[in-house]
Amino acid sequence: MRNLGVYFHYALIGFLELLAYRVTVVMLAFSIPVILFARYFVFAALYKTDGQTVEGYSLQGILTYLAVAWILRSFFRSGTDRRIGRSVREGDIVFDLLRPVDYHALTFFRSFGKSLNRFLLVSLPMILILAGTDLLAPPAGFGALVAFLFAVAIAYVLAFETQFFIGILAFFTGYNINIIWTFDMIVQILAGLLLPIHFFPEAARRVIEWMPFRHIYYTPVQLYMGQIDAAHAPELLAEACLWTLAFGGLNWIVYRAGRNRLAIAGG
Amino acid sequence: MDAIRVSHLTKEYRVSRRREGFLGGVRDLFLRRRETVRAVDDIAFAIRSGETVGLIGPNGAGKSTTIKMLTGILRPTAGEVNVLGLTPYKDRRRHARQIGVVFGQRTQLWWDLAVIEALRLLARIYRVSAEDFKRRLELFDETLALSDFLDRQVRKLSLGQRMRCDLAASLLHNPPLLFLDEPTIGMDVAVKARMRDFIRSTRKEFGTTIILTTHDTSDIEELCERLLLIDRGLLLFDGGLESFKNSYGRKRTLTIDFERPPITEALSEFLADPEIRLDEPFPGRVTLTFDPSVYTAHRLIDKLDARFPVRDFSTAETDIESIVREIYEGFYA
Repeated sequence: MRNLGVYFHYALIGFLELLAYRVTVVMLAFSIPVILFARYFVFAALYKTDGQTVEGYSLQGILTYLAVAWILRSFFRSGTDRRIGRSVREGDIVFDLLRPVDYHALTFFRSFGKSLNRFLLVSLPMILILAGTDLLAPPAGFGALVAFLFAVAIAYVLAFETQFFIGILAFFTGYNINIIWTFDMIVQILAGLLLPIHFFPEAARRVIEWMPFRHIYYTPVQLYMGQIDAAHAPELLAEACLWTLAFGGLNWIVYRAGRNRLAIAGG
Repeated sequence: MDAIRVSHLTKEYRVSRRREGFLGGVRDLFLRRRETVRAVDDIAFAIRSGETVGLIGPNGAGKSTTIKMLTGILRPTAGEVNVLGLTPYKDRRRHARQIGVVFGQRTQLWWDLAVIEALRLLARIYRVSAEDFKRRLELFDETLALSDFLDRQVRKLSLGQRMRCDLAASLLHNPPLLFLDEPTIGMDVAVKARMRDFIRSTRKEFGTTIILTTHDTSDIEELCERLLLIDRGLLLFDGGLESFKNSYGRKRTLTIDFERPPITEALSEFLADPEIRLDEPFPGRVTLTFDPSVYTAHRLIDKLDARFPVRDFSTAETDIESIVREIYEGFYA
């Protein structure tokens, strides 16, 4: 890839762009502990009234599940969907389209730069803070950790592809924050961010297991916690890879269809 | 050699028409009225390599849409576009290397980064060597005086500074073809002059072909050899500046200061010729626009002075601005 240097620079730009807004970073660093804290009380109350384990999760188990999932989310979500939507509405997308680079790849690397920034400024401090507490247990073992890291790498790309897809819907619908929120909420549920998919009714679980989204949070976290044996990991990761490729292919088609309809009037 | 060849170029947008008021809004929720608008309607032209062409037309005429099709951002609904041997829409990425673009209403730089950082990234994107980059930067600095604010964040620049940076950014890779969409919008006279100098020197040194849209007719008079006039998606005029003046009536204006403020109605009654246009910029001063093949300034002054004592006067040939204004007013009427 001759253009790798160029795309690397887009990642750098994404990184630096986010660095310009210190307040945003600080607020983000605060918001996730608040969310986790709220969950802690809900589940602590739940577990007190109803036995010691629910669906195979102890209290510490469920808290670790949520902590890992939300830490992943803190750098998975780079605001790509909103950014694409806004640039279509405001017309600034013209400058991305004027460059001799692939839009899909450009968006990925810019997003990656942002994620890296968030990882260093938000996720990493959170990991360090939570590591000593009951809220975050260590990984199940060395094998689990390795499998987890592979799963996270694939999940990152898959999470990007879902955001890219939601973003380029703006080519058809215009910038619509409600569509973005709704889709994000659905993905949160289907990916197992709100609750482990294990908790869902049998019928719902069957459907969700036929969808790609669970590989964003559910699969990596399960590997981390050793709920899936590391020996089964390659099979699962191969499946996640295929889904990611399929989603990328879908985006390739939707993006091309969308560009044909692109209308930027004025200015 | 033709740098740009366009034939039967058409672009249609689908727009929804909103109904008025609350009930209208509710009805819109269920049933949108959609209609097709032709922003560009079957136009054809060719631009030779090295030409500087001005694209003018009132707001919403289809200028920007045309530029966006020529730059490969928008796909034409119908028709052919050939720019330096490529079809912009199909060969978007290859085409992007051979053009530079400035949209006066937006910036291609990154708001949150320093100017130099943005230029460096662009140099990487367009594969400008470090040596060339340095040389280009020095060249830009000569006429655009960028060095004072290269390390500043783009969002903290003034409009004039930002536009200078944008112009530099668009020419960093020394493209053979430059699109300028309202490049002098909101600029003060000094910045305008500086930008025009820069555009002229670029053209002279590198033979750059330039397509320019503007609402400032002095841009056109100073930079362009040729004009394309577009309105409602139609190409209404294509030709040199001189032939533009001729075909839209070469008129003269006569500005007269009277001893006592005359009444415009009395003047027009006295002259008794609807072909002479009268304007009164302020009491006591009247401008007459007339056809020089029918009247002479001398004869008009003589005639008027007998009834309305003249203190002072001056004559001028109508500039592009008043021709354009007359044409636009005709459109709106």
